[in-house]
Formats: sequence, C-alpha cells, structure tokens
Amino acid sequence: MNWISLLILLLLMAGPASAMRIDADPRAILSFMDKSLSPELDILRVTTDISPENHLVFQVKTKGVWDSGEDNNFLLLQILHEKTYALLIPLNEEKEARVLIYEGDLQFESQLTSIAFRESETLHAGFVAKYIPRGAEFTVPLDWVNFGAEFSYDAYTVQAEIQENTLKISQVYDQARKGRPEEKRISAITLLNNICSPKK
Amino acid sequence: MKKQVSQKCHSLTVIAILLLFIQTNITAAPLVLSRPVPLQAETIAHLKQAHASKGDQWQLVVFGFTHCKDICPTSLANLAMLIRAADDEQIKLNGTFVSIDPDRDTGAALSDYTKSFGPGIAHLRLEDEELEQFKATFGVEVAFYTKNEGNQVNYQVDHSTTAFLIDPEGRIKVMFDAVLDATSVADMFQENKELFNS
Repeated sequence: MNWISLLILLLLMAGPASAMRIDADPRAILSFMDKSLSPELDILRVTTDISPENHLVFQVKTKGVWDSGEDNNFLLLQILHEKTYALLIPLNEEKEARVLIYEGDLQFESQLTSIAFRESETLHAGFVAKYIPRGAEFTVPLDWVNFGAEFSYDAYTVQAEIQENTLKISQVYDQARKGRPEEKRISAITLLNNICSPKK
Repeated sequence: MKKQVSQKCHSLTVIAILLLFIQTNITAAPLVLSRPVPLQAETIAHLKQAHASKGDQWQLVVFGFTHCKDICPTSLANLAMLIRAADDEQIKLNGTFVSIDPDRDTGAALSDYTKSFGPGIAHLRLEDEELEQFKATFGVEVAFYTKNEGNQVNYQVDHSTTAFLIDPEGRIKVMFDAVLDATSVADMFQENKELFNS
C-alpha cells in the first residue's frame, strides 16, 4: 500500500471522529502538541475507561518516552471531585512506579501552582499508577467515587517540590486541556454513563 | 535525496496528525457498582408511578424516544429479552422506557410503542424541570438537532444508550450499554445469582 492509499484510509477513519465533536466527549482529552516542549513533557491525550475489575482508569500519553527525566518532574493527574486531588508519578521510568496522592481544597479556577497540597492520609487503597509506553496509567477505585458529585480531570507535566507531607507545584510544563474552551462540569455518573455507552 | 527525505517527513507528520483524530475505541462491559448509587425518593416515586410496582422488583431503565429509528428499538428489544431472561431465573424484573422527547412522545404513542416490544415494559413521560432532574440523576445527556421554533416535528435527537439496573431498594447497581451489552447482562442473571439475591 503506498502512502496515498494509507492517507485516504486514515482520512476515512478520522472522519466520523471529527463529525462526533470529539472535543465534547467527556471520556477523553485530546491535547494540542507543543513543539517548544521536550517530547516527554508534551501530553498528547488522556482517555478514561473502566477496567475488567470495575476500576476507573485514566491513561495519559505523551509524545516521547520517559527514559530518564529530571528528578523533580512528574506527570500529574488532577481530579476535581469534592476536593482537588493530585495523583503523581515520576517522569522517569527508572524510578519506582508508585503513585503519590495529595489533596487540597476544591478550586475550579485556580492555577495549579497556587494550590496548597497536602499528602492524602485516606486515599491509598486501590489507587495505582503504572508506566505504559510513552505515558502512565492511573487506576482509581470506583468505590471512592461519589456519583452525585461533580467530577472533572486534567493531566499535567510539572516540576514539583515535595517536602514532608506537602506538595508545591513550582512549574507547569504542559496541561492536557491547554487551549481548550472551559469544560462543561458534569457529575461522576454522567462520565460513567458516557464510558458505558457513547452518545448515539 | 534531501527532497525525498523531506517528503517522507511531511507524509509522516500528516499521518501522525490524522492518528490524533482517530477516536480510540473505548468500550466497557457491564459496570457492576460495588457501592450502588441510591436514588432519591422522588426518582423512585416516578419509577413506581410508571409501574404501580409493589417495590420488591428489580427495574431496568432506558432512555429514548419513539421517533428513534434504530438505537431505541434495539434497546427496547434487548430490554424485553432481559425481562424474559430474568423471569427464567426467577428474578423479578420489569422495564421502564423514559421519553427524552416529550414534545413528540404523547402518552398514547409511548404506550403503543412500549407494548409492541412485549409485556413488562412501562413508559415514563416527564416534562420540563422534572425531566431535567430525572435525566441528571442518571447522568443522561441529550442533544437535539435542528429543533427550533419553526421546526417542532422533524428533528434528530442524540442520547446515550446506557441502561440502568436498579435493585428493589432503589439503588443503581449495574450500568451497561443497552445495545451492545445486553447478552452479558443476561449471562449475569445465570452466573451471578448472588448479586440478585443481595
């Protein structure tokens, strides 16, 4: 197959996705590429799914591999759900794939660098992070989710300082939703509804 | 040589950009909620109103509209199949079809429509704020296309096809795609009986 045939095939595959206004799909964030960033810091997309064990899974993909990043660089999954939660994994696959969980007050509009995060004392059981090719996967137990409450998420690559039980984000390199219009706030059950059956 | 390399680079860039627009195939099997979601008394009252239910039955709730040509008929046919499958396993289950398009779905139209799929399926027609609250409880989003002041008849409606299995205590216990996952739920009736005894 020459590359023109391949291009036509890809155009046909891409067509329905664009027609469905994928930007409005709460199950995924398609992030704009940023050529000024090094590939491992550039987030390409975030997707959500339910695992066979009934856990909520967030998969974050970056443009490049994380061979050996800076010590203080992290991939951060932010969840706004009654509080502001930050789930972090080092941007360096040579480090242990252990999820770090911090929480702060619920702040929809605030810059990440201005939020005072403290280590979560309650959230650990069932929260898992692991490296995948060019990214990471965060697993969140469904039991933790309050289905009636609002639920939103975003992913960042950041430089952070961890001191005792506090987390301070000193620099944000990339944000998955950067450049996107403000997302519509939805409840957790709406997100699950969308994961169960995309709109038809 | 340089030109060829440059052309290849451009082609690869175009392909990479297109790949970004290809939707990832996100699929899910039936979602069994280990912490079931309790419904508000008002929501339970609406469901009972649809069935005159005695309250000791499981309920299967789907959302749709009678002008739907393909998705809703499949959902309702699957719902009827599940009611029969539950009956085979001595699980008391009835179904409710909730109209998301009450402007066109009259009570009589809904009654005829649901009856055509078999016994055990009732309908619920709510309007305005009541409908909005009911949809919000289940996280149902609806998009109307080309419906406006001049066109109140011929328009299309998009909605999710999630079905909700509600236990006799009025809690959402299972969520699944009514079009794709009904067979898996029928299997659950047979293979996961303790779920329906709890």
